[in-house]
Amino acid sequence: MNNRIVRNSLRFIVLVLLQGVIIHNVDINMYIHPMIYPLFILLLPIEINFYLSLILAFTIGLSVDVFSSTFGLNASAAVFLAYIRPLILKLVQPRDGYENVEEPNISSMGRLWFLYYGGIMIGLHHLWFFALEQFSIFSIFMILGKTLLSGIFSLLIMIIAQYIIRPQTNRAL
Amino acid sequence: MRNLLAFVRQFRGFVAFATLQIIALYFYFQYMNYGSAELYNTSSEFNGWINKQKSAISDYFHLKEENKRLMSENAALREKQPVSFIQLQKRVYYINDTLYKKQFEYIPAHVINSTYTKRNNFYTIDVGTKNGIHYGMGVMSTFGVVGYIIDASEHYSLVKTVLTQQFNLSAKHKKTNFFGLLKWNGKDYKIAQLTGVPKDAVIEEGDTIVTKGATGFFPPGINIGIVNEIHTEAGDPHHLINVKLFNDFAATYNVYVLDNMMKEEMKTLELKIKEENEDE
Repeated sequence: MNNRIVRNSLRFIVLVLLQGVIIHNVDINMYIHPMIYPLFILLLPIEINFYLSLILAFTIGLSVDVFSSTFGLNASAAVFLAYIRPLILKLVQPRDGYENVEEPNISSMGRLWFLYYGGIMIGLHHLWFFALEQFSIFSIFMILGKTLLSGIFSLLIMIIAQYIIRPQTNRAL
Repeated sequence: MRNLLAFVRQFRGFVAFATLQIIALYFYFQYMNYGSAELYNTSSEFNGWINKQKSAISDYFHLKEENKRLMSENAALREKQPVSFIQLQKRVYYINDTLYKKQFEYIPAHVINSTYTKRNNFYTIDVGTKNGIHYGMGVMSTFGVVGYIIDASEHYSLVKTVLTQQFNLSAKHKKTNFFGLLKWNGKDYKIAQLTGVPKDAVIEEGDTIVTKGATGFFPPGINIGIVNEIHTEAGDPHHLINVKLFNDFAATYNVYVLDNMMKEEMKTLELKIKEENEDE
């Protein structure tokens, strides 16, 4: 239990700093703005309290906002992501449920499953984010283009990140 | 009954979601519409400190280009100094007269945090209220307009650059003085849009667009960019002009903050228009 809190707090700090200090400042082009902080929400424990997950999402979103002068945009997208997470988890549920699975990451659920789960989650998160950012129906193609291209990069970074930093507990025994 | 309970539980979840959304979007639209960055205020010192550390490392990477840029600017300024002129008419005297009064002061600053590919791009610069920075001061580089200050903490301030939604700087065509509003559509960081110029204006590609000086952020005549493309649509009484910006937003480091010492005077005078209108 304690271990879980420590691990998630560490992940929170590392992801906010990675996002705010490094990834936010990498200007690749107009369409590619990868994001790594949603990984925190993706990897929250499965049976976490719903309200707690909303508040945690709001906090991490706001922390990222502070670094990237977006004034609440990331907070909004993160809360949305936490809100839809239980629905998506139910949607991509494996046949025998989530027994013995603490948090839904690659090593506990497998690569293919995470690709589905992450793909849907990141797609919706980015769509919400870029739609709000543009806030205009006329730039619908720009919104979709940004969502698709940034989403691919975000997912790639998140998968790589999981291979680099694997939680210790899953490897033990 | 069980269905009802489930519904209530779900609804409660939605209320929590909606509440947090409203808070986040309040911050966002508050900023978008009024330019006030409440969220930034509370965290700017910490954020500024981190950016400063980061920029202390990355500064070294572009020292060479920056030096070149400053050298060429120094050379241009030196050429304008009295020592580089030969007096042609010996009977002309310089008198310290009352014809001219200094209106703009330039405060040098460095950009320590910046983006240029987002929909809204802001710069953090390393001067703050201690250096006399406050809301509404113009920011320019050697080449042209960069943006204006929207918020300042003790040692840092936040610049809203041309590359934001609703930038809306009044700008004019240098040759004919026809004016319009400078905006950015978010597509290309080298190109901004000048809107609201009537079709009567004869504008050609390659013409210069400069500031109008209407808001007091900039003196009139500061370079913005050159006309790149002119769209005219049937039924629209205005030109839509694409302006190629002089300032390279991907590589801005040295900037100047402009302090307009007569801004208050201009404001109080213009307030009278409002009062006049209210009286009627």
